[in-house]
Amino acid sequence: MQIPKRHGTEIILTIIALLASLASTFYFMRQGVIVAAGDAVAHLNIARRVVDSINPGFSQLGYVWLPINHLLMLPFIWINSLYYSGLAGSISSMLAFVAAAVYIYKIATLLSGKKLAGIVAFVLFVANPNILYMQSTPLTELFYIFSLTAGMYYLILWAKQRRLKHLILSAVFLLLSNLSRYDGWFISAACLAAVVVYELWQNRNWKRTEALAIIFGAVAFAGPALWFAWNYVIFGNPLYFAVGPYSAKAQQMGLLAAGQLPAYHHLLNSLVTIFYDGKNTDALSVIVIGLAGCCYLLWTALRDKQYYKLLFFLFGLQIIYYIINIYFGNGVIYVPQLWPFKFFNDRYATTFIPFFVIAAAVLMERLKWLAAVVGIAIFLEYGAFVRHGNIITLQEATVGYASKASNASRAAAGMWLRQNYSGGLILSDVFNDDSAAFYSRIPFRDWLNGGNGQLFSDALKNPAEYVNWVFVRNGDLMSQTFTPAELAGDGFGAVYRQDDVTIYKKGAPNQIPAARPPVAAPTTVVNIPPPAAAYPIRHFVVPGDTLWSLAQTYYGNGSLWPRILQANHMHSQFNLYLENILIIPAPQP
Amino acid sequence: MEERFRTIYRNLRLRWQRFTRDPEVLEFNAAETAQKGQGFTYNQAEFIHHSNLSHKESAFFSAFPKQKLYAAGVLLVVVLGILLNWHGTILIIFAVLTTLYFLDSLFNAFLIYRSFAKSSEIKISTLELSRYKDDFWPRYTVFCPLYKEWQVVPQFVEAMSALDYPKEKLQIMLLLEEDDKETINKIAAQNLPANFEVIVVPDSKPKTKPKAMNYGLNFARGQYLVIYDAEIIPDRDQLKKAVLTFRKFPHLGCPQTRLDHYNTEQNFITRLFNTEFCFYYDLFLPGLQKMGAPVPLSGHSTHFRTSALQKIGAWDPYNVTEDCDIAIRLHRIGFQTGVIDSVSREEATGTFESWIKQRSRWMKGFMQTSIVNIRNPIELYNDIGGFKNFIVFGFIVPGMVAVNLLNMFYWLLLVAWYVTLSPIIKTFFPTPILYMSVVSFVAGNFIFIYLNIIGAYRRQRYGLVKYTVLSPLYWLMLSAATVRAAVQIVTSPHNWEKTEHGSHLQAAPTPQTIKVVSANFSANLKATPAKERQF
Repeated sequence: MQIPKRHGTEIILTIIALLASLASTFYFMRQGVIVAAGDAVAHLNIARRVVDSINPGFSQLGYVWLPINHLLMLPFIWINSLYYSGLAGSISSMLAFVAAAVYIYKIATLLSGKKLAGIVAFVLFVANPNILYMQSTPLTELFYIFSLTAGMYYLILWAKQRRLKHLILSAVFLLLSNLSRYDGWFISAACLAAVVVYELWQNRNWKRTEALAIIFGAVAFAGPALWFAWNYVIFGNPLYFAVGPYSAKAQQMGLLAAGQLPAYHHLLNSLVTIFYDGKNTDALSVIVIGLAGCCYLLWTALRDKQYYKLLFFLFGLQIIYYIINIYFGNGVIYVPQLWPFKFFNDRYATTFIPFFVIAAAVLMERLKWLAAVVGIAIFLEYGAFVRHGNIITLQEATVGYASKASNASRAAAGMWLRQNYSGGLILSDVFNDDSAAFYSRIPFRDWLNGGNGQLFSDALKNPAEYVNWVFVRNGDLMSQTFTPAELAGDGFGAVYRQDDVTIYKKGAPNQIPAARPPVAAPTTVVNIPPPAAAYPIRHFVVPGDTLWSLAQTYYGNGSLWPRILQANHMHSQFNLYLENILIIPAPQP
Repeated sequence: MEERFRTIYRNLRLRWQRFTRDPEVLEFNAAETAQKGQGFTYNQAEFIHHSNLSHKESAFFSAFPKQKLYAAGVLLVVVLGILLNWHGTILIIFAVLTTLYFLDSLFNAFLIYRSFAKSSEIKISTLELSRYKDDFWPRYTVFCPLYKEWQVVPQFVEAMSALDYPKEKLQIMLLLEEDDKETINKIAAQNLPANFEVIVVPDSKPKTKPKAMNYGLNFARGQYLVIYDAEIIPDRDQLKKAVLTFRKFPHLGCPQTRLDHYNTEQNFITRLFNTEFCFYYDLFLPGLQKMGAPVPLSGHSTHFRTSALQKIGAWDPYNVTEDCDIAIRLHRIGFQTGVIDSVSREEATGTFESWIKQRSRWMKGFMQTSIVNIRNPIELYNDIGGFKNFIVFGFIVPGMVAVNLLNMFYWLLLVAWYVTLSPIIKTFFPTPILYMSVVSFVAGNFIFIYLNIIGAYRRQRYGLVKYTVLSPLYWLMLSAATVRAAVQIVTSPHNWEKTEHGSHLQAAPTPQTIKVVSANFSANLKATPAKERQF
């Protein structure tokens, strides 16, 4: 095969990105953190249920998340090793990472006219530790970054060369982004407006503008249209994704009720949260030089009358989107620097990275030797991410608000089931079997939940007739439906109870009479090491805690702290954050 | 006893043989041919079609008794199946239909992809044309078959005079019918330019446009030949482009021009009609051409090598889609068909009624072509150029009719399901079938609307784009017309029967043609039925 010479750089960059992708995925796989995030497991499970369920099929794609990431997993998800390792989801993230890196190169080259700028942008993107971690996970950010970047590239190219082909390609990639994350809807609407304004401004031909708007909009908004149709056909309400019981809004309102949305209707808090999130994820130096690059780009675009460059700023709307989002409580981001000092959805800021690195690279190419200083500053900051174990997206996944640690009780129950399951259906809330089913390795065709329609409703009325097991977690649908006495009356006995999870088995004697307090509260810090049988214990981090002090408290021996470090997939004691829950394993393995 | 059985068996066999035997036709001998032109006698009636094409290769007979038997057999199996297990039978039928529909959508998408991937249209630049002096250009013949359309002749004369081609090299033949005295008189009274020739075609059965052209071919002196209906306005440089195309592509037997309308903005129907053309000529046909498959030619604005026409025995006067047929026969002797980058403009039918009538005629023609061509599938397979072209033929001729019928069927089914929410409809769609239907419905509709949009945009019909979004309404009309054509075949067997015996072959516009009745649109709409009856 003869490779066209003009694509030489792209091909070399593709190979570099691919190698970086493989190396980092291998590294994070060795660390066992690919499926650490609760959402990573949830994404894998949605795809898995399409092929493995009591009623398999596309309707299992559900309504909470947009479908394309799960569809992309389908070719791999049915293979057990790829499913349980999480690689089934990582594959599309990795390919998206490679493609996104190349498109970032192309945009920066297009804007500056210099390949060097493209290469700088490429390097800044590919070397970001947060991106490298995210691309190894089944999370949706990388595919979104790719589709958005490609869409923006073709849009800018269209504005420059005025070829219909590029406008259609832009719409196609934005369609993919619209089927990947709701952010895309906002950006696409802005892009459509930009197409109309730009075309009218350049040609003042209303009919042509109208035609172009239809050609662009019909494709770009096919995503939302399909999603409305899907929600209507499957769930009976076109807006079900926005108002359904597990919708993001519904979850955020739960947090609001608990007084845990500091940015809600508070503009300053929203701005500061996004700033810290950007700083933690994208690196402060990249943001600063990127904003300076934006000013430079704006200036040159106006000076040289190269107005197509202005379309690049549509990228920045990604940041505006998240400010609006957390301001109105449709989404939530917690950064460790601000109350409530947790990690939650910090990964959203990875979607700002293309915008900043491209703008930064365009300016750095102009700065010549000064750029080296800037580059060193950036790499020092990237290095700091890694050196202190501060890859925030990884911390979020391991110890954050919706992390593996926060799902620990369900995962533990899943592990227990893996040993003790003896056949028959398991009745559970759909949220629980995300972790429980994944770690139990019991196929989804043995789990009965809200995604199984009529059978589930029937089983709720008369569990003994349909299921052998009931999986109850404090506060979930099962605990609201059944009291322990009712379950006992139906012939179910509790066979497992740990933290907030109780598993009932049909026909079993009630082996565990009473519940223990679910979490060791900060007030109940004990100084005598508990008996071996009580491990693992869950610890609520309070001010003054150090790994040493915890090891001293729980084991009576401070030097055993590396066990806690390992059990929580922490990289150093800097990972210890307030109000997180740590797993305290037994002192001896 | 045994003897009795034997007699019954012999009787049955004899009857069977008589029933399935190909009908007998008596070709003219040399003397008769010299006197009257080529033809034959059948059932004591004379048919003179002025071409060397054997009746066996023509559509003189459409459905043979054998074909009817096969059809009856299939029907019998279906009826038996329904009696034995109605649910299973319907399920299988749905599965087969949905799969075919899905495959057809995929095929079309593939075709358009090929068309987009690289421009396949033959492009000749104006610069190239200007390089040649007048004496370079060969003699060119223009056929203009006219029947009771004398009103348009002035417009036609104007369009022909505007052609950028040396006048003395251009032979323009007006082909008139002997019994159309009015036109003959009106034309005689007109002062036609010197390069116009008037040919009066002797009255004979069959009286069709292809027969007139076959007759005219005897007088054609051009190296190349083109058919222009009287109301056509071709691009000025079209003939020169065609000549260079013939010279550059020796394997090309017939370049087809792209068609367009000059009354697009008239109303909703003409707008969507035009969008359909933008799609058909700019995306669909170039895709076919790229595949090397036969392009279903239009009834006019098709250019031929005169020698190739003579070699294949010219047009089949018994086929209402003689243009589609000739493409296949050109392929048979090794010529290709293609699309050139030149436009001929004509008038679009502008009322719902006339549109439906015209479209049902075309669809009826498609059905007839399908029946004629699958008369001997193996022969077709060999003639048409292998498996690929055989499949392509299946998709573009019978497939198009089937898809139009299925569209109506699926729409009705969808409405029925939505209204009744009947669980029984659901049981006919097991998961794989359901997924295929949904993909065809959602992606198929979207992609084809979108391609129509692109087609309109590429012709710079920016104002048309928003109407194109309403294409599904147009497809519904298309379905209705096809259903009407299918019903006509069943309910007016007399009409069909006559076609079968070639006695009343209509000069109906063929499926790929936009037959415009006349330049004066509204006045001539009323004239249309009369003309149909005559032919």
